[in-house]
Amino acid sequence: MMACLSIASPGAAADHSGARLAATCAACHRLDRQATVDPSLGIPPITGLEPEKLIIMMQGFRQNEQTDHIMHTVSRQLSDEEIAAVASYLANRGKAKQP
Amino acid sequence: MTSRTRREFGIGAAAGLAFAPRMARGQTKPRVVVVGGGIGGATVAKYVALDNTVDVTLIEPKTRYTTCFMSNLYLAGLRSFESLNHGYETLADRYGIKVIHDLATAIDPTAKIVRLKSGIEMPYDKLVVSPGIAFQFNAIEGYNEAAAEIMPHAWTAGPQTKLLRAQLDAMDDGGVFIITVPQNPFRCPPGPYERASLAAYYFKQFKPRSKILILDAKDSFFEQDLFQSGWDQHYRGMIEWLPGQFTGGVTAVDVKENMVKTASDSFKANVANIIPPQIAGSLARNTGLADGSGWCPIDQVTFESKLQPDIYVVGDSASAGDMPKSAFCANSQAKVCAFTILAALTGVEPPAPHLFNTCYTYLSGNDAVSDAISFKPDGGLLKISGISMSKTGDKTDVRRAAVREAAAWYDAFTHDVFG
Repeated sequence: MMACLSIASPGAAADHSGARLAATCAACHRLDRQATVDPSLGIPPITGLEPEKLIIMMQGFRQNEQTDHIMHTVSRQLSDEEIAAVASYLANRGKAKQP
Repeated sequence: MTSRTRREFGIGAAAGLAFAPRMARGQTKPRVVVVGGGIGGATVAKYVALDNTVDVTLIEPKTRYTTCFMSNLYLAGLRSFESLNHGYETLADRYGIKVIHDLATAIDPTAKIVRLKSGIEMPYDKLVVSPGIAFQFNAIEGYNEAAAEIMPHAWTAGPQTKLLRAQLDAMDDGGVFIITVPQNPFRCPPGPYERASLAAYYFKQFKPRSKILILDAKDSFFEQDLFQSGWDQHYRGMIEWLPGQFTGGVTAVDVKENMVKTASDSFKANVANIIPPQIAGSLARNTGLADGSGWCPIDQVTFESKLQPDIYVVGDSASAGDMPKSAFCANSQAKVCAFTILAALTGVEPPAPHLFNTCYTYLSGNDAVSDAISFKPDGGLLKISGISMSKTGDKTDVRRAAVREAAAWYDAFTHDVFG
């Protein structure tokens, strides 16, 4: 029943769109691991980040190539709505029990 | 598909139901068959199967896939061969993909059937073909499959890679290692120059009087300034690059004499790595998916073949505008293709496509550079919409960080495809 209710909500559509956008992230980031700031990991996991934090980071990447040139290119291809959708998806995914 | 999978990928029960095709009870699920278990094929299979509304079959003769990417690290002794190998067990067990280790020999696009070497016929609603590259043997006189056992190409990873490693290992100090590079398009445009860099890294430690000669068919190459400044910095005088305008390009090899011949000269090699011109894999060419160029023309928004309806082509064998032939591009195309196929089967509009190439390239064991390129359809062709890359003046710690990123990328990327 819960599932049926959520189908009709805009949140479910956003989550679906977020999941498919996150496929792009998955080519470089492990999505099955919780976010961490350990720089020795090379490319950090991003699952479970607070959406606001990820949105601010993506805005920073967009504006400044020096921060991270790969993320600069990626962030410039995503709209504000897409960044919000993927940020929400990754945050929600982080709250779910990981396998 | 298990509930574990749903949780992991977040395409939860709600979303899955929302996008399920409307079918009467008892009706079978739509059937998607994927031919080729390389990066493009395995990624399509996984991302279609994640939706849980489609029967997905993956046809691949080999039980293990060896990645070409990072295989230059193996050549330099920086990575084990085993670490380049990936199996299909997780795709079968976790995502419910039917993995058949067999060779697809023919496609009947009218009856929508793929025929396998064992005699099995696989019916499909949508077919994805991702056969990778084949080599144009004899485009260089004397260079055929038998010659490749003496002068390896090592441009499909596996026994060829091991052969080249063994030859470099056996080469005496002071030897000459020749790498030949074809005209574009070919798989992994920076690959030959990374190979030269990492072979030099190996020689500098163990065979410091050795030389590397790159005989290029082209007059320039991608990230040339990054490579050449790295060579100057790390291996001054060890690597010589000869562009096509100086030599006329490689025309012939003599495997008995270990000679590589160009239009203007002959070069004696101790080890010769001949990277021949390439075309789409044979299945694509034998089934009318390739045109006169040897590559497969596709709709550059949907990745559907322009020559055969309901057949999609992703990866190195596709002509995808400005997109280079790389594993990252194959993976990126495969996701767009998977979402397009799901949309076609469910009637739901696909999401806006996002296509990228990201590349990490090693200049030495502790110096790597990277680039990222985005692509968008423009007038029916995929064009570069954004590009960024490392700079020649990067600080050492930035380059060392890129080495760590490269290792993390390999782990995440192969998990995305096979895990």
